[in-house]
Amino acid sequence: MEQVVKVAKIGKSANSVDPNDFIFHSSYNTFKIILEGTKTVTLNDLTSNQTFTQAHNLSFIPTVSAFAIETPITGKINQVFLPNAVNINLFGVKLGWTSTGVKFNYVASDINNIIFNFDNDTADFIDVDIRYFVLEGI
Amino acid sequence: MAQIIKVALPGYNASTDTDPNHFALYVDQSVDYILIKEKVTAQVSVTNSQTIAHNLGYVPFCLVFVETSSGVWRKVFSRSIDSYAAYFTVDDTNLNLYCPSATKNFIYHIFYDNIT
Repeated sequence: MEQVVKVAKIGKSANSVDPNDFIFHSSYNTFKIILEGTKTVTLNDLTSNQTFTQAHNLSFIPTVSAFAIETPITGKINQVFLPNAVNINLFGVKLGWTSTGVKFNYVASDINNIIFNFDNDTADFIDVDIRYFVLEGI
Repeated sequence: MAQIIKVALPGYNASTDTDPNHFALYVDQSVDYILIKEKVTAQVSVTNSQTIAHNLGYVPFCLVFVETSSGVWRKVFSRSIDSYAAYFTVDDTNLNLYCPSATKNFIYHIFYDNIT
């Protein structure tokens, strides 16, 4: 007989068969964060496709999520932006949007490294702080 | 009375610490700390598009990755800026993988967690 450890959400029955009713259920794999960390990179001015690597020292290719923020500067919008996105600093329904000129192109991983890639369309060197979460094998 | 299961990471006291980041497992019935529950994971080769039926009846949380070069896996989103335009969509029945400009290997994880 299968032994199960489960914790239902408040108001839900522990006998429910809906996985969404549980905060924890040992029958389902919960993605585990193997490690997390931060990395600060400096983007060269007016340069696209800038790649930075961070060794993960794992024996497998991990699943990775990452978030970036331009190093806070007074007077600038300080917000987190995701891969596959620019850092939008102005948006209007009719005006559209503008960005700071920094684009987080992608996060990837291989057997050795986590790989971050950015564009910097500005004439300034830009510091970007990255927080990454390394999960189970991909 | 709330049921609590906590397993602290090395160096932290499970009895006194209240920071969820210091726990390998932290469930107290009051807050869902996104212990995402995996339904299925698989690898497929995609040319143009591929439909993966999950039949959950709601839109589940998914993670999708594409092998951009041998052994290098890049996280995929619902809007692509890649030259081969890899992206995915998900609805209450299917996960749809798209790669209209090339044939690429995808790995997907579908979780039970309802995002709608």
